[in-house]
Amino acid sequence: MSGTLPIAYTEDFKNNFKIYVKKNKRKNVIYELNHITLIDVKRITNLKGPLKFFKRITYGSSRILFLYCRQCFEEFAKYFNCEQCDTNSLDQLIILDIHPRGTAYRKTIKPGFKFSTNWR
Amino acid sequence: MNRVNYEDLILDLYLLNKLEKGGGRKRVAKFIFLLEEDMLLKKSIGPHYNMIKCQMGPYNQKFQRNLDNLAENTYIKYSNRYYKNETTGVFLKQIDDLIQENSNLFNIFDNIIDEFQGFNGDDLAKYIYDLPHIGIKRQSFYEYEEFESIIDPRNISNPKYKFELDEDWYDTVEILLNPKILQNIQKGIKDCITANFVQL
Repeated sequence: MSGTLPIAYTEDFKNNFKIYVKKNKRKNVIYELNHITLIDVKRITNLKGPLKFFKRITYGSSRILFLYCRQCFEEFAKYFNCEQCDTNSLDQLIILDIHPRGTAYRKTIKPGFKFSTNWR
Repeated sequence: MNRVNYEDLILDLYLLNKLEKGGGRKRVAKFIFLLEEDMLLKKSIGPHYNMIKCQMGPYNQKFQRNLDNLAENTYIKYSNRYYKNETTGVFLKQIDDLIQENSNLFNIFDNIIDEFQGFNGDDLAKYIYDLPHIGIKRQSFYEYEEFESIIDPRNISNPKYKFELDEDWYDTVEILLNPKILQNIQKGIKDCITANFVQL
């Protein structure tokens, strides 16, 4: 029961993974993901509201979103109705997306204001 | 990593969603001040803005940053003042469970918004200036020094209630308030449904 879980990576994750994770850190992230156990998954709480289907782990300043197939099937009545959904292999994770944390609301900007490049 | 006060952004959006004619940052600040004042009397914390005595009334620079960022991310509209748009209502509906969990705070805010809906920024300022006792020192606005803090919710010790997102809501709100991330998640879901998986 405490073994690692099979993982499927979406293409979207792969694309963003290259954007947000530095080359020298990528192996570490993949290692971490490949060593997530069922106990870990059960310990990680779900997001809320419309994102209640997803669990997440953070790695540095990035957040990785994933689905636990058994939970989707049993608790959320197969909500996403995925093509490959297989009741014989529900103990797997689907890594959906990776994105940077907390970047959108830290900057000071003025809507419509454009910085001039003509300094003279 | 420093925490972003998404609680304040939620309250800003909630207010603008209810203000038919929208509001500038000073009008928004005064509504939020009245909420903070009410919460202070209840020894509770709603918004987290440190309200400072400025020329135009209680204010904090973070209002401009927060409202501009919300407009930049298209959760409100900006045209001389800030207005709700379709996304404002959609977002608030998405976090309805959170609003219900904190219904005491939002009910108080509803009452304040209803009472002062017809007031413009100047009317609200006059109302606040005329109050004999405001803020932490319970004195009139004029008795505070220029740029002195009138209410700093961080200094309310052992509050009876505090509007603070738990870790799950914090991450949820952070994602819901970022259209770029939402778009990526949509792509991820599409990949998942169509079994568009890759090797890493």
